[in-house]
Amino acid sequence: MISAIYDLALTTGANRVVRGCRIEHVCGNPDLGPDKDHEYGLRIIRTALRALGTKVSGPTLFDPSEETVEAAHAS
Amino acid sequence: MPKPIRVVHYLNQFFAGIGGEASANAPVTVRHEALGAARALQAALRDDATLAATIVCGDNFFHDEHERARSEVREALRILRPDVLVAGPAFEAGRYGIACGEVCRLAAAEGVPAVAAMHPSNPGVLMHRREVLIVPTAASAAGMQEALAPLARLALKLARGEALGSAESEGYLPRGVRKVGFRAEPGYRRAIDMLLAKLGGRPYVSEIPYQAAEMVEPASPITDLRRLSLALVTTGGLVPIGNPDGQTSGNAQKYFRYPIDQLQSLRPGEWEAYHVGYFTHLVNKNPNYVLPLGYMRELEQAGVIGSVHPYAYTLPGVSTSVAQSEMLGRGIAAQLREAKVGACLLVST
Repeated sequence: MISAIYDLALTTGANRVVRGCRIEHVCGNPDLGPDKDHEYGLRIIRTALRALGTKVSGPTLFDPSEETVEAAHAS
Repeated sequence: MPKPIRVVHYLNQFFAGIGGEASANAPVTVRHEALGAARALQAALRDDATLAATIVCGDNFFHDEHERARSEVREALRILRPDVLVAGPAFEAGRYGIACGEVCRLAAAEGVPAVAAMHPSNPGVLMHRREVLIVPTAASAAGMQEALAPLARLALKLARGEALGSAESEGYLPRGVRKVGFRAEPGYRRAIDMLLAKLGGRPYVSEIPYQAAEMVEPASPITDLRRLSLALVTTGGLVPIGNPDGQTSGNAQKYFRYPIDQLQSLRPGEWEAYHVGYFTHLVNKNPNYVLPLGYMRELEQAGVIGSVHPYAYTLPGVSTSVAQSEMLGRGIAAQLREAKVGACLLVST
């Protein structure tokens, strides 16, 4: 789950929770301008993919600020 | 001498004493006597009421021959015209509990007050708790005696047309009906008294019962993203512009799915968010904020993930009860599973 209200998501039992930006723009931030907004959104999605690949034992928060920014390319 | 109260008892095949699972296909039968557990109900009612008849129906029959079962029960109630109908106790038996709830609603539609009994986790409670008076019971039939006393008491009250007090005082499950009334002390005093009792380790009763969220076993992690089919889901109420399917702006009763396989990203002017829970102007300018298709396509084209599932699922999450959300979630999950989708991203607003 990607949510700006991540505390609520964790308390109500969502196991993989990715911190979103704000309720009105969960996957990005228009205030950053188009390039940085895009970079941020991509980072949130990459965090979500990382969460999908991570073993968790209960509600766990994944924070996009911990994600390294890289150009999208096949690994 | 007041007219004696006539009670009709709805039972499944097991509690009527007809048989177990093998008899679950038993059709609707009406016997003008107390069968099986109805005898125990008669004992609980003592001289205050007579058990005029037992309506028996097999749990499978009620669901498999739904229309026929309902019309036969309705017909029986019209002929019997009891003062009250009692259904169950169903304990944790799901098919039975659901049937009890439906039979009570049928009775109410015929002008017959009704009360059911089952364990709070019975699916019958999930489906019927707002419309049907349900007495909570233990999980198994070992709790039969404890269940019958409040059941009999409520049945008599209903039959006599007496006003019912709160769920707490009368012993039925709260239906979510709010009645305005006065309390002896103002709210802030009651809250402080409760807090002091809690801090002092003394007993207190919450006015708003807290329901802990159900913990779900986490799914195993995805081992290879490059082979993954991933679906996008949102509770942000995203719809094609004009809301052609009439999605509500909250209190979701259904979910919607829209094809996105031909789309590279979601474009403003083609989608809008119809949702009373948040200010939707930014999502309307960039729908990818709640359904991040644009980013997913980039990653799909770069080979980071296998593919994006051709359908996106949306619904307006605001004011949707936990029970309703669970049902909708199960529905979406079933479709994704059938389509062999490996994971989904759910964006919540």
